[in-house]
Amino acid sequence: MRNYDCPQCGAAVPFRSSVTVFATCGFCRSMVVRRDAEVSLMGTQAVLPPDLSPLTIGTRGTWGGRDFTLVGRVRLTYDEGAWTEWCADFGNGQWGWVAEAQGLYYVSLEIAVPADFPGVQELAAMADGPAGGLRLGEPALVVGRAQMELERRVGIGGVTYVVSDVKQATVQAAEGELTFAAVPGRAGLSVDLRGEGDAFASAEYASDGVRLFTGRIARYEDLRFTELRPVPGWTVEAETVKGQTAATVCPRCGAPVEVRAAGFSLTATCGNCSGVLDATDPGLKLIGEAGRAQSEEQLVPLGARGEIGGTTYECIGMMRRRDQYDESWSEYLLFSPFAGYRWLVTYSGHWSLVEMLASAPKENAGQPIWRGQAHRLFARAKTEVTYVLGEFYWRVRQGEVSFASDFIAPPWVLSEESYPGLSETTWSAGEYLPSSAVAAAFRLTQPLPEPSGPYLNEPNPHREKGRTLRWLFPVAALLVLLIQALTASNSGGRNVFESSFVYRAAETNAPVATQEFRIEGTRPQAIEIGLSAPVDNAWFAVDIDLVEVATKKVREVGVGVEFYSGFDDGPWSEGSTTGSTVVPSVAPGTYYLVVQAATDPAVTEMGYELRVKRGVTLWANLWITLTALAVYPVFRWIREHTFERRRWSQSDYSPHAVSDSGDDDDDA
Amino acid sequence: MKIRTPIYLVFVVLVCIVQAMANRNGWGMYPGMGGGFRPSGPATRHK
Repeated sequence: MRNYDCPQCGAAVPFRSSVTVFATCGFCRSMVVRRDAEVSLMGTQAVLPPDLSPLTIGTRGTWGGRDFTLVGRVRLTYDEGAWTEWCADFGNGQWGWVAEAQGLYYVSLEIAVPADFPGVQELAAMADGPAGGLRLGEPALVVGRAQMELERRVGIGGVTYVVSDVKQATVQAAEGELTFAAVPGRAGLSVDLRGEGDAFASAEYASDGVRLFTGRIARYEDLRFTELRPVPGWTVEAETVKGQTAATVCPRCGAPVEVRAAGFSLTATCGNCSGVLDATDPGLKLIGEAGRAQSEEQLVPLGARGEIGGTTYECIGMMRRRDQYDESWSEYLLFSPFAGYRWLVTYSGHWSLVEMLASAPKENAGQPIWRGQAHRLFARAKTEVTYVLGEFYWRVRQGEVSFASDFIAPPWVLSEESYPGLSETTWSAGEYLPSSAVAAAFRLTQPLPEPSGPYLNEPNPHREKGRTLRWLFPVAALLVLLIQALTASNSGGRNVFESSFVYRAAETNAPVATQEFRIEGTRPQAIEIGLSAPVDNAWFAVDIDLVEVATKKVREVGVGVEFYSGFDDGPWSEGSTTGSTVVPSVAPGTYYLVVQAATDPAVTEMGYELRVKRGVTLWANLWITLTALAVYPVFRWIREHTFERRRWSQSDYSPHAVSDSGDDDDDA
Repeated sequence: MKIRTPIYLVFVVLVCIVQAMANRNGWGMYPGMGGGFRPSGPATRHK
């Protein structure tokens, strides 16, 4: 670090960084430029407007594994608002910028401008011309604007970037050290280019030529900031830091207007006259109308603070939007000086916490992928802002139109929004939030409306209830199969009796008692009695009494066979010449059968065989068990499926639409 | 869920026990029990 004496007041003007050439005296706000060992005065710097950024000169951070220190900042304005760029010293002579915008941090490093970069050759020719020198002034902006039309693809270091925004930026004020002379009013053409994922580039066409920066978009937590300043109203009482509050009056009606996210908000609204005000203008210039609130009430009041996901947010804005189907919903803008912005979107009693994404999600087969999940298209709509209240980070206006597409993977919803006339598409991700969580977070005393109907990203409650069944039912089914295999393997299925008989219609055919046979084993078991008779276009049956010798206990069963064949349009046959029946739970012991045969009256004589097999496998028990186990999971599945059908019935892109029409066809 | 899953789990255990006992003791329900055979004759289309 090297200290110079301020040429104006004599106070020390430190140059901590070796790469900076411009500094503002912290005592008298004189602008100081150093050349070699000398410093010279350039006038007086403007006053920076109050803001709530936790960053300050001396704040340290880490980006891409490299440490940096913020050494200065410049506030830039353009026709739609303003933003802050922090000059970051990465050490070893390397420096970059950390821009704060829309609650995100755009970190970039300066790179050498390629010779074929748009406008470079034209500017070089102008610099070599009769005017000479590098002070191109206005022509540099003209060349930049002519070269960098929106959507132009530009290759930088082998990577393709697309021009997404072109605006003239003017230095409003600066503090600390900078790598260029940030004199208030200095104009440059700022060109934003978006790359793959969160990569971006920015080019500046200014009086001293073209500068090019490449970098990535980061979130507050990514940069691991330390040495932060107290944030008035957040980490310290607002009154303890002078000049950091931003309360003023509406220029139209004189009502007090508080800018809650000073330095971040671009617009504010007057709660009294509904005028939309320029929050970046110290006088809060009137720039539009907010529209009148309809019957909708404001569920989360402006200024209410609540903790969601461990971060405290303040509700700073609310807007009402409507789509072409006349459905309308409310969006509450939440702000944290640290985490940036979030949205609370509510429709029909349902709530989602929405976060803007730094980059478009990857796609697979037309479905955006986020958090490893494919999101299915649910709705496309043209939306219109019907009412705004509070502050916003862009120049929101009543009647602002956008085209939105919603993709869902409950509880998530991904929204893609594009705006007529702008090349940029923004993506945001929302997570369903129970209304009770919203009420608890903001300590709302008024009860929130009850949710009605399934919402696009509402978690399927039946899926939640059936989540365990997804693994429990297969495990239970496997267990049942295992039990079946183990218990069935103990059953021998051995023949214990076999005998032949003859039925003669001419005889009396009194019941026949068979020889005794023994059923071995230690437990009751199922036995199978099999009948075999060579019937042909006839039937044959036997009524059997299974008699236990010791107890004379009788079990009655019947078994029969029938077989028919013929020739109609072709040969046919049905039935069988063999049949069997099972007698369950037969105790071990000695038995005999009492057999009474009967047959078709046309049959005069029939030989038949009877067999008794013990320890047979009872397959019916397996099917009964599996069916019993499946009843509850099937019930759950039906409930879950019904909920999904109701959810998707609100969509023009329902995956059930094809099967629905198929069902109708079947019904017809 | 906190209530239903244990109930289903208990049900699974009970069903498994009953299935094992049924197989071990030869329990079951079969159409031939207690009744005689009733011939149906050939299907209507063939009669």
